[in-house]
Amino acid sequence: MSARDSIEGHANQAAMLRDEWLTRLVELTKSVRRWAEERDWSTRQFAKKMKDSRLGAYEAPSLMMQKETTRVLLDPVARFAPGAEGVVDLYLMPAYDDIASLYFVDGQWRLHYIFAGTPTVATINSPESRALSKEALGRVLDEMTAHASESL
Amino acid sequence: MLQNRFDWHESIKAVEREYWAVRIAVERLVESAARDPNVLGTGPKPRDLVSADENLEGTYLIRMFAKFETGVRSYWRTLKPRSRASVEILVDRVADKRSIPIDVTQGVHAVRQYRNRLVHERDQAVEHITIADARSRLATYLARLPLMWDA
Repeated sequence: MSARDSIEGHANQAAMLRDEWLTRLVELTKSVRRWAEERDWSTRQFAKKMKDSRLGAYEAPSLMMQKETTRVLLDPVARFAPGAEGVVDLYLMPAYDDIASLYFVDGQWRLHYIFAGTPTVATINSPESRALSKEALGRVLDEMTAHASESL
Repeated sequence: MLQNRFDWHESIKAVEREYWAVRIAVERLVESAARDPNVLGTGPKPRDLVSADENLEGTYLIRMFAKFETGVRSYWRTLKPRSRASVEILVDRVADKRSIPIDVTQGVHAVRQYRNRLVHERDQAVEHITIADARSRLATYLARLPLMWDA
């Protein structure tokens, strides 16, 4: 294989991985948006500039959710992470406080969040993490709004 | 060039994430070196590892504040292209312009003073600020800037 073929091969593979990652993010954002809106959160999607040593520069979907005074950002972080094929964080805005992380592991998004009264999740594959679902996300969002009400 | 406020938020948050990654790596290395000092090889000495451990958070806080300052200056230059205001004055002027609550601005000044103490190794008593606290204060101030500006 020539050097040119090799470079083209890498570029094609990067493009394929980037497309796959973006499709995954679009689907995630769509689901989270729908679940949030069903719980009366208003949402706004925008493009986030990403830069990755393997995928190059690209734009990924990011989602801002707001209910009363509580604002939460669904923020793509990286396609590559040890033990996961994608990481997306949930932040409490405007301070960017960490709420939860979503890791794409074994073909599904897993939610890492310390629900009230449950033990800390130690690792990506820890059984205490749970598959992302409408109910799990709803519980996180409910806890965020409850916490905001308590602190007023 | 059009600037998006969220890009500045992201670069500040990225510094914090990087800090936590390196923090975990250093802690693991400290544990390994305690069991077997040879893991450090021929370069750094155990005392260098201790010093790296102690200075780590401050080093990343300095980087984080630099990102914040660059972002705020980029916005301010759209209004005052020739401004060379010190960071203290810059923070106050932007706060006036954007009607940023006093407590939020004071929070940034506390981070700035702590950063100054780290950079200049001053002995003055200032509030100790963790990197998570610094990120929270800087991001809250930054959130009062417009969503986009043309720098």
